[in-house]
Amino acid sequence: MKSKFLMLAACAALLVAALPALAHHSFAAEYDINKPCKMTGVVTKFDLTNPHSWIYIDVKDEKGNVVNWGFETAGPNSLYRRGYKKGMITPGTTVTIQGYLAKDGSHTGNAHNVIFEDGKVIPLGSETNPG
Amino acid sequence: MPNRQLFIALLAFASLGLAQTKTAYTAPRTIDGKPDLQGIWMTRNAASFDVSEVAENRQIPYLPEALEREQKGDRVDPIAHCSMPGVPRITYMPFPIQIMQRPGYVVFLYEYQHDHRIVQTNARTHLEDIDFYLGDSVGRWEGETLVIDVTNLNDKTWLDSARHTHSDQLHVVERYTRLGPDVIAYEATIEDPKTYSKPWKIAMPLHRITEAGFELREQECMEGDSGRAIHPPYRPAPKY
Amino acid sequence: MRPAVKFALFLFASFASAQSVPDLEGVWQPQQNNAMFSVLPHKPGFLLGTGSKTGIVEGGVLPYQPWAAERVKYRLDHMDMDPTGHCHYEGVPHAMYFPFQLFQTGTDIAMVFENMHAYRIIHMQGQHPKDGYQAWMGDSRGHWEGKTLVVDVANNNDKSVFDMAGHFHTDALHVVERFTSIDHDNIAYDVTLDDVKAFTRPFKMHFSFKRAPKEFQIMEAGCFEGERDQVHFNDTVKLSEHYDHELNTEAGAKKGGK
Repeated sequence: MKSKFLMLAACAALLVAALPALAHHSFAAEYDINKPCKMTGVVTKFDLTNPHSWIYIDVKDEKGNVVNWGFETAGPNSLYRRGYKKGMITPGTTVTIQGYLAKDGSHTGNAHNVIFEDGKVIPLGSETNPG
Repeated sequence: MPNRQLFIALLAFASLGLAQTKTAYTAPRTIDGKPDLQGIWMTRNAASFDVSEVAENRQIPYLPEALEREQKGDRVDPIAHCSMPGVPRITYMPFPIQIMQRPGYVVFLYEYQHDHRIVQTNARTHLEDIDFYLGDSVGRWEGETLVIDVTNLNDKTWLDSARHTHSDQLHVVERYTRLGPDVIAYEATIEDPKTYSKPWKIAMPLHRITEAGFELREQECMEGDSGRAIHPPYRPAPKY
Repeated sequence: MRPAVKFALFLFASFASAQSVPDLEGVWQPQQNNAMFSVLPHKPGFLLGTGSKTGIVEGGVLPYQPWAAERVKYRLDHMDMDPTGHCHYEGVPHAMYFPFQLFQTGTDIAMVFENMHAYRIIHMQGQHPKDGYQAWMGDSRGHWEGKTLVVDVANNNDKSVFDMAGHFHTDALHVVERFTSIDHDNIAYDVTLDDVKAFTRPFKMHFSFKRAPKEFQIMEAGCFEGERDQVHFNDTVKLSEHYDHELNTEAGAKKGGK
């Protein structure tokens, strides 16, 4: 019974993924569509919260210095509708994040896709992202 | 004459009803035959300040380690940051509640922060793997009583402004029963194995607001609103 | 009249009146053409959205008065002024760009949204309050005209906005919505707006609602808890330069025939 409901919810997720469920967006003020980025790092924290969830990853630069980056993604309801399950993104997991950098030069960005080591991709962009 | 006989029969039946216990009130029915809880209701008590006021024996059966955790924890009421108040606190916030009913649904529209709960009454299974401030509510009818099972509550709310806290294992079962035209008996059984040594109950009446033309107004919470996160919407005094 | 007969007549009347108005109940998904970014036509990439060739405003022009058109530009370049970025209520019709569940009784129609844990109560009786009450979502009074639910929205404050593109209004805003049942799965949504303090004439918006799949349910969504974006707001990029639309022109006002 429970799994059936979840399966239906997952199917519904594919149907409604394109439609925005929440308003809060400050992308215009924060992120720059002309600054796409792709970084790989180890998850240090994942805040599943409204209005936007946040994934924090430790990224090593060429010199071997570790910098912690924060990426904003969709809120919990949208993530669940797209098939996200508890435990998929946990501290220690290595992920690659595709997104857009913040305009203010801080170590933040807006996440669009999360790619796992096995090649699996989860579209974690907020509904308001293109693609 | 038929009407006279009918009248006498009804009178006899009514007096029989009066002789029974007060819980024998039968609420009018909605179009799908369920007790009609519709209208605008509000509590009149101090529970939002201290929920132990409405608890059985005025006691909350804390586990000692939970009480210690609480006393070392945050000291600012989450609703001061415009957080949703959780269940059951949303019921006894001192603001009106409009209940609407449609086949398969009971809809709670709270004036406070324009919160809402859409409760399906088909006893569906709970959602998995997601927590909410107001939890996930699954309803069913038991005779005259609407029973709502609330799980998936997060641990970010207080039960009142006296800092009575809980964990994310909180489980609440609410019972709404009309006792008369203008009263609903509200009962909630509260359990949380990480916080309490056993389940405990709160009970209070919900009173119908009978003021003519009374309607919910918009109550918005804006963090940083000069510290007046809880202010009631403007309503002019009624004219008598 | 015998009580039983009275009751039967009452039941019949209830069913009869229930049949005569459309049943708009259900969960609806707005086909709003990215209106939350801008109600006017806009390119993909504007505000990181996917763009809209037509927008939702009839004629593709918002007939702002000159002072108001300048204000729109200013707001576009100062995105910290956008209320939705601060988790404030959308107002009408902005709230209608997001999915809702509609419940219909004889006295009230409720629209319950996941976004902003909002709801609208459309009162099917009574009058707009005349005591100075102003609300982000205004006050809504509805009545039926055939297959159309007509909703009059007054008592609006001056804080809600139509979209993220700086399109604001004053507290003189008055909105008339028309929800017309097309068929079981579609509702046409037509809006007439007037605001004498900011616009030169009334104007219209249009989009539609589609019935959501059965499994889609409205859940709880707060906005307060994790709001972290404000600190990153940056106004060095002038959004108004990247936004290619006709804000307001006298030509536009003339087109409107006022």
